[in-house]
Amino acid sequence: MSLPTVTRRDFLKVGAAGASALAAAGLGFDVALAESTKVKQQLRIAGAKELHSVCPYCAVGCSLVAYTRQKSDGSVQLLQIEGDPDSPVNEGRLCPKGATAMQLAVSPRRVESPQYRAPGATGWKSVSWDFVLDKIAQNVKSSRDATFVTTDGNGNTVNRTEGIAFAGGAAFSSEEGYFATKLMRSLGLVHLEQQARV
Amino acid sequence: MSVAAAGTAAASDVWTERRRRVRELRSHHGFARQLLDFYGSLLGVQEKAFDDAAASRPTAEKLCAYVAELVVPSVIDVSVAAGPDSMRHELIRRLEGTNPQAIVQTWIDGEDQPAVDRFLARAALGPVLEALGAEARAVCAGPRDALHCPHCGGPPQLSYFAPGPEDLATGPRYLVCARCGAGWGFARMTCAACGEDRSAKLTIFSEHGTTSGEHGSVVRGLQRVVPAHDPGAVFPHLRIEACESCRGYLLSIDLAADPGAVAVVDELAAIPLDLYARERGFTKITPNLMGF
Repeated sequence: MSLPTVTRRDFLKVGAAGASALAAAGLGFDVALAESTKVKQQLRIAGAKELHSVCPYCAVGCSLVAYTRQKSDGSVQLLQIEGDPDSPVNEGRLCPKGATAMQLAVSPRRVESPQYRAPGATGWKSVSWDFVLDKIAQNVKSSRDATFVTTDGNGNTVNRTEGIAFAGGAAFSSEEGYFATKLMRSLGLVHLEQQARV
Repeated sequence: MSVAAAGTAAASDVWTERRRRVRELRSHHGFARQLLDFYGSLLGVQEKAFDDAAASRPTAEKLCAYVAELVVPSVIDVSVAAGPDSMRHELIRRLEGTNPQAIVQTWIDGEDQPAVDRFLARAALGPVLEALGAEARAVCAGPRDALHCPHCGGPPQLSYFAPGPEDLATGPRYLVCARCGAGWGFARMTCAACGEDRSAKLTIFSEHGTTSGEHGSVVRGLQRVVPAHDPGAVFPHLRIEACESCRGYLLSIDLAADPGAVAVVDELAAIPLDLYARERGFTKITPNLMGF
């Protein structure tokens, strides 16, 4: 895109054109003007902003346009997400998962608490974060203790945990991915998979 | 890309498409009927001017004289016959003391002029420039930068979002020239008047219920489900793109939201949105053919 050249003269011309528009009734469409004024008063219009964002789901980094509106209580409401047609990365396209990126922020079906299915149970139940963190810690400890390998078949010291695997989500930032890897390595895990972002 | 692409029509179908859209909007938008009826009459004259210019192909040097002598009289005739009273009176008054060629030349030169002169020049020159293409457009004055038509240097009249190339894809934005009707690609989140691209300075005014999130959908473009108690938007595919930096605005037409829309016609009929923007102190980059 070449740089715009808005001169003082152009600016004044735009202003003059605007002044002419104010006198639009001068062309004589009085009936249309009167009828449109009534319709205008019925319209439910609100101002919104379009913001650039980036899809959180994979390392392609598709550009998004997020359409937001400020509510009367000052909070910002996310109304629509779509691909950014001006991005050289995705040229307006999104994959089916990226196209539903709004669900990450707004979804009436979002699960809001940890779910736990006890051994032998047929259904899930909502539990507290304290419960589930304790449960994970207990399971990690017992699995690690049961499957910890100190030496391999050749007698080499390896000190690894083969009974646990870790998969990092694509919504991880690089820092989160780094931290998760560090933690899992400290437990002796060797089966690690990440889809951390660039 | 010519504005023909905005309505998915080939060049020869542009006029058929515009007439179809006038009929459709006339039945939906009673408030704009006076304007659309007149525009419908004018389209007949403009289509003939388009066909004649395409057949006779006047040279760029003779463009102004050709339009003034062969097209302006027809525009005056239809305006006097089908236009509102004050337009008729104003046209007659202006033509008594003004040379039509000077009126057309002023528009070609991009100078400011009275509203009725601008209407006359635009209505007559527009279809001829659409028919003749690059050589004729090149004689028009104006900067050739991102904010003006790359073909004739005219200012943008409107913008539209083209349908995406596939499902889940958002189409690019185009500006449409007020003088020759050509379109050119333009960044979506940028003011078409001053080039402002900070989101905080750009406000979009649209009716409630026109975004996917307001219909419980997370994917843009899915079938809208309008609740029974919701009267629905009057302009579900239109929005005002306003800039806080220069206080300019224009209307955008989303052709993905209404594939039947024809950008230049829908923009003319959206008078309530123009009134809304004006009420908030914004000035349209360029008034449209009918002065709104």
